[in-house]
Amino acid sequence: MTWTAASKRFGVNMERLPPNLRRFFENFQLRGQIPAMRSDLPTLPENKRLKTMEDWKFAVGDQVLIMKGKLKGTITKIVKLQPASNGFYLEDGPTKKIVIPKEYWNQTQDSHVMDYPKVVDRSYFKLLGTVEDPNTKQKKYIAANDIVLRGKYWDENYKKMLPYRCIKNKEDIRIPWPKPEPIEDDAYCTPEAKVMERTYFPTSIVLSELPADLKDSLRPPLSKSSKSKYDKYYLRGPDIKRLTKPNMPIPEHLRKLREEKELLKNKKALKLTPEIEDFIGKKVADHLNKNDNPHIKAYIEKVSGDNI
Amino acid sequence: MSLSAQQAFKKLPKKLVDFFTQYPPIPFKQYATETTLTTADDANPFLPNKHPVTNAIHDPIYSMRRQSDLFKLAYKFGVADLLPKLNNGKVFYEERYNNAKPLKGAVNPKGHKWERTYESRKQKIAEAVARADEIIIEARGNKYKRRLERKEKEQKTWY
Repeated sequence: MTWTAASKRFGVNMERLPPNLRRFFENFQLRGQIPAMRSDLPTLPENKRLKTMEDWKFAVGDQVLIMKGKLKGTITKIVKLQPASNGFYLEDGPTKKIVIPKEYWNQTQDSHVMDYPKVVDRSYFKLLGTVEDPNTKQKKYIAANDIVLRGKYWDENYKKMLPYRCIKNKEDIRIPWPKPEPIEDDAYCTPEAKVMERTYFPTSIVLSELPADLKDSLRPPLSKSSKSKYDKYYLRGPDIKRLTKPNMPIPEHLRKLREEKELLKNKKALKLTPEIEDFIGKKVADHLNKNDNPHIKAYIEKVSGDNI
Repeated sequence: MSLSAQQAFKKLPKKLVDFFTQYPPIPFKQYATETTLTTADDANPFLPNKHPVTNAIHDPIYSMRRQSDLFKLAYKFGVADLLPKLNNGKVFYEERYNNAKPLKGAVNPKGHKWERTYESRKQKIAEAVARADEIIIEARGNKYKRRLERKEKEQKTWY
């Protein structure tokens, strides 16, 4: 056993460098890379990367509808996430031709040129869910412009609490999290049933059956971390806020503010009435039909709503 | 090919449709032309409004830049007059051109220095020419005065 584990203390911590210097080193690094291997999306700093499933709102296995480029309209799946750039690899997504030196070839490879999947960002696709028609009982896809997370439930597939994924402004439609690929246990794994088996039954809630010196035997008593990190607990801002009682009665402006917040929360998406639509439509039609300037016509075509 | 009302409405950009969804056009709803309460039914989203409880003045829901963008887009689709009144009396395009304050320099050009002092210099010269004899007498004394008088006396005429 060797003790040459590289300590991060002595390396350059890129996160701590000023942005211009960091960019310099990153460019320096890029020069040594094969151009084809460079990431399609820029690498993000640590604090801007998505971490939890709630942050991502998407998971591997999600069905998505491609919204841009030549593949627009294709239904495909998310195969992999790229945490460094908050990007996604899609199953039948866009690819790029890259040239690979022979040193990096696969066993089955017989050409320098190969198709390599491109990393796409969040705006490239929409998440797909399925809804059932109540009359015909036929299932059809629904694409979500945006997703909101509501409530929480125990997910048996992921073995953790997860929020429900709902379509924004149509929160009654939920898109379930995809089923992850099953993990195959190897020979040395403890079976799940064995792990969940209860072996300790306390006899009293006042007296602990654990020996008093157990803690000292678990962690080195003279280590710095065992004292500061685990023994001390300070009251922090949120704790103090929770423990102090509010001034009663609540001031009127705060009460109003709460009411307004509540109203905003329950606010429903508005809709234009056909009467107003017709009124605006006539006005726009009058204006556009009169216009015969080709430049203005081209502009209108470019920004018009039916073009998107 | 002329557009029908329905086709024309679909041509409207999402930005405008969203605005009219939130704030119906003028004949269907009237908007205040001055600052009111934020809770007022006719509160104008382009103007700063006052909160009834805290008395704080809230910034307009649409900033100056965003309301300008919205107006310019609406103008190109001929629906600019359906928007509420803009903040600070903003006007654009033809209206702005017609109501533009004429440039000070164009109305009253400054000119070069010789142009500015031309009139006064000419006047000064004319005055000096008119008083030429007196000035010369001052400078050269009575001898010149007498010469002038003699010249006048000895002037020959045809009669």
